[in-house]
Amino acid sequence: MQDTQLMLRVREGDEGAFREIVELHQKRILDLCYRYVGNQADAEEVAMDVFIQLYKSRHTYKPEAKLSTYLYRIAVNLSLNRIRDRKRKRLVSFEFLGKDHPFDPESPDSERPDAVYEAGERETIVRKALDSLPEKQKTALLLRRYEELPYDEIAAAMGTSVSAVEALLFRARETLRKTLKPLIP
Amino acid sequence: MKCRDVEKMLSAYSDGESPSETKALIDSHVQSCESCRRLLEETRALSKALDVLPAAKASPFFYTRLKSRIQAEERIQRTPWTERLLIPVSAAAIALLGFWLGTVAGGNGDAAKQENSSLNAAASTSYLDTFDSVPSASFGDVYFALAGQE
Repeated sequence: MQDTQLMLRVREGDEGAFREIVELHQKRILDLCYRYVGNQADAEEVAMDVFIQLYKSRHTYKPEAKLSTYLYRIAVNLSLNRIRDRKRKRLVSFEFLGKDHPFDPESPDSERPDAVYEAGERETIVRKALDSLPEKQKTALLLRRYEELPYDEIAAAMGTSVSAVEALLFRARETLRKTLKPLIP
Repeated sequence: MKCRDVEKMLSAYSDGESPSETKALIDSHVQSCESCRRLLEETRALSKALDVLPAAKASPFFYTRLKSRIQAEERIQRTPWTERLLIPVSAAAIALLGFWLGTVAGGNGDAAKQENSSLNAAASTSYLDTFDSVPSASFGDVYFALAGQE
């Protein structure tokens, strides 16, 4: 496997191999972090932290699991840490926008047809809905919907079982069907 | 299959993750059950609605910045721990010294104030007139006259 060969070279101190690994996985890790933390700057920092952690642990690398699974696991943990830090510092997030937010499920406007929402509004609504999910449900959904990972890889990345992943996705979709009702034709 | 059971399996079914036997049962149920068929359509429509969340923008200098961060961290790791502690420890020592000096200076001012108030207290008792002579024709005058005769 390409990743395995490259990581074995990285373990021996080959910087070119490390660069190749970064270029192979950068986009998917950055995308996952972006969808998790919600802004480009934080996503880039977290993504860099992922690869720094990989680099620091290069001497103990063992080709037992897929490298991408390992990277996803680090990315999820570091993204969660970033979100928790942000909440502690009380930076503005969608959770604090309250009733000024364009979408309130209890408002009569929530019955507006999908076409009435502009693209920017839809993105905001979806982001808020995802942010409102419990962490594990959100993680499972992001890995399934956007990274298109099969259930066994999601389970490996999250350190859980396939049946747990199935339950998490079921509950996440059940919640989102209600909160995103206006966007579902 | 009952709708209650099918509903729980529709999420995995829509992801193509149902075992083949289960998939066949759900296929058959959905064909004849409008409620479950609608639920399946909503699940697929939900997946489509999530399309709106964009991917991150490309980061052209990502590796360059990553490399700089790694090199900076390695430099810090190579610096002996004694040097790494030097600046914060020095700053703390200077702060403590400043605090101590301030305390001492403030304490000297208090001592001066105390001495001054003692002098004032001493000055205020001068009304006692200790060395004035005894008034004439007073008991003191007679006493001293008698004492002088003995």
